[in-house]
Amino acid sequence: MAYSDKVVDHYNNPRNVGSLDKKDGSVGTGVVGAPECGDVMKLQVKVSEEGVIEDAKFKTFGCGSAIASSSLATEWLKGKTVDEAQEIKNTQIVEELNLPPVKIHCSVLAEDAIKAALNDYREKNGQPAVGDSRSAV
Amino acid sequence: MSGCEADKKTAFSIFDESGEICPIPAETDYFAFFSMPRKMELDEFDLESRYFKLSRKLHPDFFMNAPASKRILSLEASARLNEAYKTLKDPIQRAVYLVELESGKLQENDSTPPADMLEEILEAQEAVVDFKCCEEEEQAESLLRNLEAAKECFEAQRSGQRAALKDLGERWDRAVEAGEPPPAEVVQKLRSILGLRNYIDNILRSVQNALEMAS
Repeated sequence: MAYSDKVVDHYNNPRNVGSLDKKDGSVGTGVVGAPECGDVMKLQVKVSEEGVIEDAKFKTFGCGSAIASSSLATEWLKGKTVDEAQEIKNTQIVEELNLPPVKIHCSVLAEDAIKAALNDYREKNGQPAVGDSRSAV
Repeated sequence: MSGCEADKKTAFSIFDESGEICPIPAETDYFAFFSMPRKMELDEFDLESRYFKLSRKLHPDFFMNAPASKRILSLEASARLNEAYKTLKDPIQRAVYLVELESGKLQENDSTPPADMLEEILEAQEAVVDFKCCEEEEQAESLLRNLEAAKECFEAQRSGQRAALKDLGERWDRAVEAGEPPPAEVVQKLRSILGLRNYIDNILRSVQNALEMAS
């Protein structure tokens, strides 16, 4: 089974790899893992005072699809408001990257990471957490 | 066929009373396949000898002149036998299989990895990547020390988990021997520890691979 061109592109040139300061009040951090394959994903967002995501970074230890899913997620997050970011669905990632069924869980992991990061940001800023960070397809 | 039906109710058998190979009922688990109790601890020599015995009976070579339907049954049974043996002979795979057999598939929410564990994994993996691309000797040496420390740390976690699994396995087996279901607390702890195994295995593989490149 071959990876799609888009997955290969994100894998070879991952966008926004790195870290933001976890202790910064405007930074939300989500670290999630997939027990069945052992992949680990960390995704961070930096939110402006206006509630817009001005920066996003990720680090992923996992397969090409997991790296591509988180790389794509950081690209999509930038410029969105926290509420808009909440609406990102793993199915959109699947569609954009053309992920085969066996790799759908990678996109679920990315969605989980986004939601965990957003909730971490909300918690730091005295806002209630939204939804269940675990979602299934 | 009637022989197969009767056997299903008592002990599982691959052959009916006239010695003809039968289809294996879908619900036959790997322990039933070898007529061994559903326990965590298992005599690996006993398993191996049962495996060889069954292999000799089921091998497709012995069905070369049999009707096509029997040849297919022998192929299917042999494939199933190999899978069963591979799963049961490895203590970890056996534990996963048995726990899933008794209490359903392991799921994401079975285990929440300790807060720092995932971060430690990401850090170790970063050191692996840096080490692989590093061209400066001094930095490489410091990264190498980091990797060795990471290896030690994850290996310690793994042996801690193995020890816990052994202990829980013994409690499981005692319940089974007493004819009782395994205590819920034991099942839940087993599920939680088994859910972490892939994280540790993956990062150790990656770190070891980098260390091998260095030596």
